Amino acid sequence: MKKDGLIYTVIVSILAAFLFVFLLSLAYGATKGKVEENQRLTEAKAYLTAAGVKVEEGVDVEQTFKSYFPKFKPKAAFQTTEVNGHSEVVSPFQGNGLWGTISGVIGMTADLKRIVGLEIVSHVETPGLGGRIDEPWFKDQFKGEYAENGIIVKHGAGGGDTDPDNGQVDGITGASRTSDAIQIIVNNQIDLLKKELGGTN
Amino acid sequence: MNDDSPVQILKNNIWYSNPIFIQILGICSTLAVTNNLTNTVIMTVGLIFVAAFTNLTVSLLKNLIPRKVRMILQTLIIAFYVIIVDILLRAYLPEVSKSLGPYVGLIITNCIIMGRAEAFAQSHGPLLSVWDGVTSGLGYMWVLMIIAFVRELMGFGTLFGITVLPSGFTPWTIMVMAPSAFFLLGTFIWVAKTIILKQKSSDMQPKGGK
Amino acid sequence: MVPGINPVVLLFASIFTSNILLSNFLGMCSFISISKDMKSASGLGLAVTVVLTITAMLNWALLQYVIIPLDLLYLRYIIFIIVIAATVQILEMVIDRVSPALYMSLGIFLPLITVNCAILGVALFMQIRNYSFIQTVVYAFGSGLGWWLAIVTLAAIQKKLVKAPVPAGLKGPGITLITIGFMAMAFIGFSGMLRVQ
Repeated sequence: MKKDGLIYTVIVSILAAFLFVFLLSLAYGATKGKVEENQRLTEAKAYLTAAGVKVEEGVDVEQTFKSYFPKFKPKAAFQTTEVNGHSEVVSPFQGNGLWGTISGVIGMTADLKRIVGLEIVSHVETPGLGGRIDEPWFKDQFKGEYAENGIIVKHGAGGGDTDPDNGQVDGITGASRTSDAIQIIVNNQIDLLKKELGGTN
Repeated sequence: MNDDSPVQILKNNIWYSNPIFIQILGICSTLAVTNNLTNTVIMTVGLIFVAAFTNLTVSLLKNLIPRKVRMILQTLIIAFYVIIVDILLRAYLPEVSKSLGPYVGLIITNCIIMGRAEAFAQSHGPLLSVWDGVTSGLGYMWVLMIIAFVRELMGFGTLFGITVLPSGFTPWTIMVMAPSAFFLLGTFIWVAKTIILKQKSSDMQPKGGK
Repeated sequence: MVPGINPVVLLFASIFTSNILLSNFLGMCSFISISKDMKSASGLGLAVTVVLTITAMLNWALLQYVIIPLDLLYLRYIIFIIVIAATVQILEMVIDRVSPALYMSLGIFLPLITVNCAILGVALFMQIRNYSFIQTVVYAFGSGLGWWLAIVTLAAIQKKLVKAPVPAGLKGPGITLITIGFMAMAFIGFSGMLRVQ
């Protein structure tokens, strides 16, 4: 069989393609379980963080999750739980970021007056700019933030607004549109929760 | 000068023929993540892995690959290793995988890997090819790490995520945004080329007894 | 979830504020080497735009109707690249048939479009952001136009630079990169144009 002949070329190409796909599907199959487990853990951690529960290293996240959300309804708009004696409402949100969907979980006190915590689950914002909504300093600003009338995300040089009573958080320098998006998404979610919980105030 | 000794290959890939500031190849995929040292390190390590294994595979298979489909098969091999890196990151370092986004996949189109496979692995033995892949990747890595060092330090005040500069420091936002990478790379090329030109002109001075 | 981004906003954003080259650093290799000559820069820009739009549409269709239903997401890199390579190959043959002059002037650069990170990059961004068909077409077309705009502007600036006293170490890629940096800064000025819905 000539090395440059058509038959040889076709056989090698088909063999190569087959081997390629076969090996990759093995690798994929081997790690699929881990990837799905990571996804579940990320969501569980998000709910816990939003509820103000500290998730330490080495702690069994699934156990902790089950203890705080025993009656978890997967597609529900919000879940109720009790942390340190306080009633809370924890709710997943999704909204338009600058380039795609930002999704996360927000936890509020049951009277919807304060945010307990905020966690970002996924986004496709620019790394180093809008992507910084994932960073601890940004998310920590929401802890205990007064939010009865919604929150304001400030533009400008932000290092983290440490005042929990002003209803304001610092946006991300250089990422004003992602910062605006967070403001809109969070406020929409708070309005949604107010409607859902109706006269529970 | 023996072109193919391991030491010479190392010198070429790290300095004299550096893929970034001499050959100007492969800048696309990684410049985007250079505002952060951790991401840069991970991306470049991934690239070294892909370059080394691609060179190894191409060198081992070079007598079997039919000429007509050489380019596409090389692309297939590169894509194979990149997908492996992607799968591994997704399973074991999911945070990093998310923050790197599509840029891991863009290692496939990184001209350095394709370039080295064509120019070196096609005509050299497997061990030397691996070495060439690794050193090309290292040549790529050190330049980008310097750029990332400046960008993260001035743009965030941190290195590898650890705050280094005092809190009174106002970060230079420009360092986080695109233009700074271009400026820094341009300046780097300027400095490197000036050094090389000086070396060349002093090499050309008549030296007594040579 | 398909993001609710207005296609017109997306078009302007992909040309100006999130220019595939000046903000996302994609498509640089051929950019730096070809930006000396206005005519070939313009021809390449056109070719890139056409390839981007066609391949984005094809890749979107493959993604929606083959890759996702068959759970082949981990193979998407190679599938996208094959589509791109095939499209460029076919486009080369078409250009050769229709306008041999253009084929001559584009020369080596046509096959290089295949490894142009911008083309694969747009496909990957489209997949990650989960764009609809219209959004994909608009984003790809806009990215192509943005790239075209950037390369033509750069070629024009380069022509002026030829007569300028550039230091030896900076000649060539050095000054080109610094020029691109200034262009990127200028494009950031467009940011005020857009509001998030």
